[in-house]
Amino acid sequence: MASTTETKQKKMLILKSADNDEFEIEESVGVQSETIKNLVEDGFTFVPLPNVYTKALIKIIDYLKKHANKTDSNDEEIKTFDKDFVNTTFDDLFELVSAANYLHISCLMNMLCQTIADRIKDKSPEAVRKIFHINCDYTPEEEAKIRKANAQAFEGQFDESLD
Amino acid sequence: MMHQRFTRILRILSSLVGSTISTSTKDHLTSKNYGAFECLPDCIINILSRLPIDCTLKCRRVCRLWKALISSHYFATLLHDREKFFIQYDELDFFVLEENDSKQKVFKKVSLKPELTMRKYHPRLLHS
Repeated sequence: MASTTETKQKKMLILKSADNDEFEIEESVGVQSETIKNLVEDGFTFVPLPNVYTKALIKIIDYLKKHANKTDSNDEEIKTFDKDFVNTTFDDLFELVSAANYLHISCLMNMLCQTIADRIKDKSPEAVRKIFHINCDYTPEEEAKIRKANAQAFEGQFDESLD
Repeated sequence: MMHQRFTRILRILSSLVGSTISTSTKDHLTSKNYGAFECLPDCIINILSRLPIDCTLKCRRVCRLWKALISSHYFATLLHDREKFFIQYDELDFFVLEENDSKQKVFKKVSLKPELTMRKYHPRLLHS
């Protein structure tokens, strides 16, 4: 019995990022991602991830490793880890969100989206546009109209900073 | 002469290749009109649905895509899952179902016409 659990623990997966870097992780760590889990169930041990770049993948593997060993005792530790994990730039967060979305890691996805939401909630639409790198596609007339309708309601409440 | 022309073509070609490489690796999130998540409206909706309602309304000003996403049926169902409702009453008034401080569900009226209502909420108890 002991030997079977041991071989089970040792079962390894290889993840390949979009930049062609390969990472070896334990299967028990990887299956927290639905995408990887489905592939593992179909018998794959080599998982190419064409939508996930090395930088994001390293962070995500850290996250998965930390959360794989979740017990009641290290609850606080994981909370601090999560706090540090999301304490980064918006661009990094977006990269992580698209990776987490592709890998279907719902707890990570929830945490990231909630963080982004909390950080943009006091921002002006202009600041939000800059943060998300969106070009405004309203015509100047339309924008002036909406701005006029909303101006008094929201004036002076916005945070214009981009971090 | 021939050689010079060849090197010039080579330089143009390499700059072209260089530019495609840089757009495909570095700027894959930022190069397009709709910025980050252009191809992933799910992610945008996920983020927007977690905002407080007045903030969601403000986000309609960001761009056409966001306005369309906020008006979509899927967005409404997500809000419903998060136990938030919002009913558009007319162009500028909304009713929002939110939890108040004592964890009771109340309808809030959010108005974008401040000169008429002074942004006063009219909470009404629905169920506790």
